[in-house]
Amino acid sequence: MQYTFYKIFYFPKTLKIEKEGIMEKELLLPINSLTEEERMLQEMARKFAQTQIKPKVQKMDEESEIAPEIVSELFQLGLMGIEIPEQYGGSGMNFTSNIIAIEEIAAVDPSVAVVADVQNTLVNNAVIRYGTEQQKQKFLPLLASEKIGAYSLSESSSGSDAFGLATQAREESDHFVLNGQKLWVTNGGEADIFLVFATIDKSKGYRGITSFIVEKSMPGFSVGKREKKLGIRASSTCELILEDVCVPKENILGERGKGYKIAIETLNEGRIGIGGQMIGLARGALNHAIAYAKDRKQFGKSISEFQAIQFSLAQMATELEAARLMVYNAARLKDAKMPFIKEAAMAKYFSSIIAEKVASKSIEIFGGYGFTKEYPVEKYYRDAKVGQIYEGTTNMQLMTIAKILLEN
Amino acid sequence: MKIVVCVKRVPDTALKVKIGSDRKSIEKGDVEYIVSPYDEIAVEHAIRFKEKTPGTEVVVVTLGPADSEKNMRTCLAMGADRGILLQSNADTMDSFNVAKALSDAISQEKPDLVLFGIKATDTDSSQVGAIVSMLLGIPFLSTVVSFSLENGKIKADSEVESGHLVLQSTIPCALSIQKSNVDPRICSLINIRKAKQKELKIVPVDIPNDHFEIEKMELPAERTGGKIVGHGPDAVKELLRLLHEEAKVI
Repeated sequence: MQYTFYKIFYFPKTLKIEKEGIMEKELLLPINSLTEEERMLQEMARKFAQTQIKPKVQKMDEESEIAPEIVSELFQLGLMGIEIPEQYGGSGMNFTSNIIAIEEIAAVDPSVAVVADVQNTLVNNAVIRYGTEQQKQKFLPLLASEKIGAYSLSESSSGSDAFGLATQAREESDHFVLNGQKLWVTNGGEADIFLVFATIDKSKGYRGITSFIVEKSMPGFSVGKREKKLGIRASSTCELILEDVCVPKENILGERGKGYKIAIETLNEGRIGIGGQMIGLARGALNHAIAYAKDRKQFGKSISEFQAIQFSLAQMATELEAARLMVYNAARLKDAKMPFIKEAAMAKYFSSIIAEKVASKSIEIFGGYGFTKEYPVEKYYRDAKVGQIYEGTTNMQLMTIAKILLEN
Repeated sequence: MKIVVCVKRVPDTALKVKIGSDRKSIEKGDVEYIVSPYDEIAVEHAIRFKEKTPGTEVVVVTLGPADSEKNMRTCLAMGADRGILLQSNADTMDSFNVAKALSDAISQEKPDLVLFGIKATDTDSSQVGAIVSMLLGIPFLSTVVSFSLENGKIKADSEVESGHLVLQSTIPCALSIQKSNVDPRICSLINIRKAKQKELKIVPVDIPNDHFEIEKMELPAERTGGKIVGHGPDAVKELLRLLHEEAKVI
């Protein structure tokens, strides 16, 4: 009996060493090495997060609201249109750049990170890939410069079973009339542009699902209840209500009845972004734990001198390193146009578990202080949980991985 | 107007430096280099001036090894128009040699204004700006927190001990920039991309041997905790005794 082992792909990035104009050797660089521009983006996002987001983290969490100046700075710095081509007013970077920015922001505030993540990896991504030239010209410059986008697939009775959705789109002369209720819409409170998935023919099952670009100003469209959440509180999660919303036919994204494809493909990529958020979160928590362990004295010495604490930190750092390599590998695979779906699911699955674990262990290092809101680590723990739920639950990731493993 | 800003790369100020095994230099293993924070403020001043005064060109000049290029790109992303990297691997501490190389390059540019950070955060010596000005034969205004162009002259606000001086100088002149409420901007992604296209001239330079050498490098002594000698009026006597006998300050 022959077993098929799954392949591991690495992003083939090389360092070419020349001597007097002749190639001497070619070295394979580590997965997480960055280009000059990517490094500058990382530095910029880190500076922004440290100087402007950090002072506001606690207040935004308490008030469950992102500060408007943070949103405008995200746009100003080009962090809301990372992959949007320059001719549409974006920054024209690669997919991995999304991950770099999300990781840096999440190290300080995972809720601000998810605002940028949804914009870049779901909304912009879908419009860039499936939009008509007219749609790109209309929406991409707005998404790059001032308008927040949201991605609306889930409903009260269709979560993991996303294509069991009930929102209806009825065709009339030159438009569709949308009716239904959407749930768990990230950025829903602040967004002006919504990608709404609805069925044009429920009897066709998933083949009826169509994606529409819905604008907040369209009559009949309203944002409903805003969820009160355990974590990522500064990012809004809302219900959308569609009552006879007339959406012109030119606002169909991609083909009629092919919305399911857009949903699957964007989520396959988007979950690498969640991986980026989770590794940033874990790094933020770990850094707080390291600093505290060095500072805190018990039994006459710094607790970082105790092997129990050292081993705990070492284990956290090792698991984070593994998760980080997985996330960057998935992102590089996607940029290299190589198969990445399994690796993306693995990266999201693993990093969300590691994030929760590292955040939890960080609280233990802080002891009682870590359990209070006076110190920053409890927030990382609360923010981590959703990583195992949104953009495909852990079980859905495992299903994706298993399906690919078994299909050959 | 043409403004030249001299910048230096320094070990990241967020990093704890370690002394190398030769006891004469820092351990370079994991050191990340950044643009010296005061120099970054000087670049910010130059760019703000440029934004207010159309037709201004901002040129950044640095002396350092080849990988200083990344620090130069940061300055270009902030908004400088072009850069000159005087490339040398010399690990010099001799301010005169550095100033000589810089002034040779700057004199070819014929700038109206030369800006320096008040000091580099690694050596803290505050010498290069003054020596460059001397070699260029132009006035040097130090500890400047703001400046403007008025009637063809530079008007600068200089911070001095518990006060301010308002200075005026003919052009060309050089300014050393002190920290104020002017924070260096965070470069946008679009400007990072533009920086890649900007001109960065790399000029190899020979730096002569230093006139002096470092004999020994030490980290500051670790801070020891304070001592609580007691509470209330009863402690005064003991405090006086310690200040007199141990600290020998009274």
